[in-house]
Amino acid sequence: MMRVLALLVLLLPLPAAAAALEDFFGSYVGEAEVDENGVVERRHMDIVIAPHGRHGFRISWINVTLVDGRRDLPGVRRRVEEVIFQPEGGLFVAAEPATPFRTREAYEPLRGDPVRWAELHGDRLLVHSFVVLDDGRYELQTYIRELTDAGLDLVFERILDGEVVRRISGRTVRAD
Amino acid sequence: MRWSAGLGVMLLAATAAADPVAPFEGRWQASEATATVGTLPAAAEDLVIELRRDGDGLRARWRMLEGGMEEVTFRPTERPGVLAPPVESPGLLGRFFPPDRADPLRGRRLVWVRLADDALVLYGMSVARDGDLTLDRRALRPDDGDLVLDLQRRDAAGEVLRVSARLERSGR
Repeated sequence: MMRVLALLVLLLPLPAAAAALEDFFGSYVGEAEVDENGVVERRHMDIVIAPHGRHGFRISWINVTLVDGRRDLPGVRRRVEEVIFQPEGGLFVAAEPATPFRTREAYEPLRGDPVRWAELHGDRLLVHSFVVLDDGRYELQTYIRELTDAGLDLVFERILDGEVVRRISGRTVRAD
Repeated sequence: MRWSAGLGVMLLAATAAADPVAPFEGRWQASEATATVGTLPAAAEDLVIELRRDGDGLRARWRMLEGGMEEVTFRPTERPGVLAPPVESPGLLGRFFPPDRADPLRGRRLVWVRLADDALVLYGMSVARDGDLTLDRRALRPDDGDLVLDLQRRDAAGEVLRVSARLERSGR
């Protein structure tokens, strides 16, 4: 009986290994569709995820919002962003631009300072940015980047006081 | 008679505008609740909230979705219509010994209240040690002597609970 059980255990499929942070490191290019209140736009994406320091990482990305599906027409918009995350207490916290006059301890979310962090869930890297607005409503932005065989799939949501006001979904491939 | 009734209504309206907390004061309990997203992890009767004026602020006591009661005193902030738990003054040595601030990335739950558009909205936001988000929003609006509750919970996966309920006065 024990032998049969042992054989069964051996035959069971192994659980899929969760991705490590290093699995996300690389350069990705792709396209996304932006839906904001029913208005749909297309954009090109260029994402780089790289190590930073000993245990942190950096995400930088360039978005080019197309005009009539093209990037060589007037009105095209290009946006560059970068966020650095450092491990802190089991999660990754965005490194804030601390100055000699303002340390991390002085940040106050209830006065509008953003709360930004990242977490790993299986094959997904989630990045959140949360802020309490001047009028007391909140804004939450969540990027979900999921590893695929070809690259990364991206889903982004901007939530304003409980309602989704912008949704982006896109697909990228690893670039050499 | 019409003049005096009209004046009374105007006075009431002016009072309500000047005192946005007044319509919400008391202990409130749901008799029934409808979930449009997810399942309420408790009986409708467990949706209880008690709101009391406390000086220039507000003391709120409510039953959490996980069970147990949470009680917080909120004070006005520099932002109009926004109330938050008081933060101790950092004092002269605040640069070196900062006060214990509500930082959700260090395990503290962030709670605040918004008073606007005839509604009182109670928020709670926390981040677990593994990064999981829990974001609760309880919007209360007066309606014919009752309160209408719109309760929403979000986590990293999105909206996981949305409940609407009518809360009736339960005691004083």
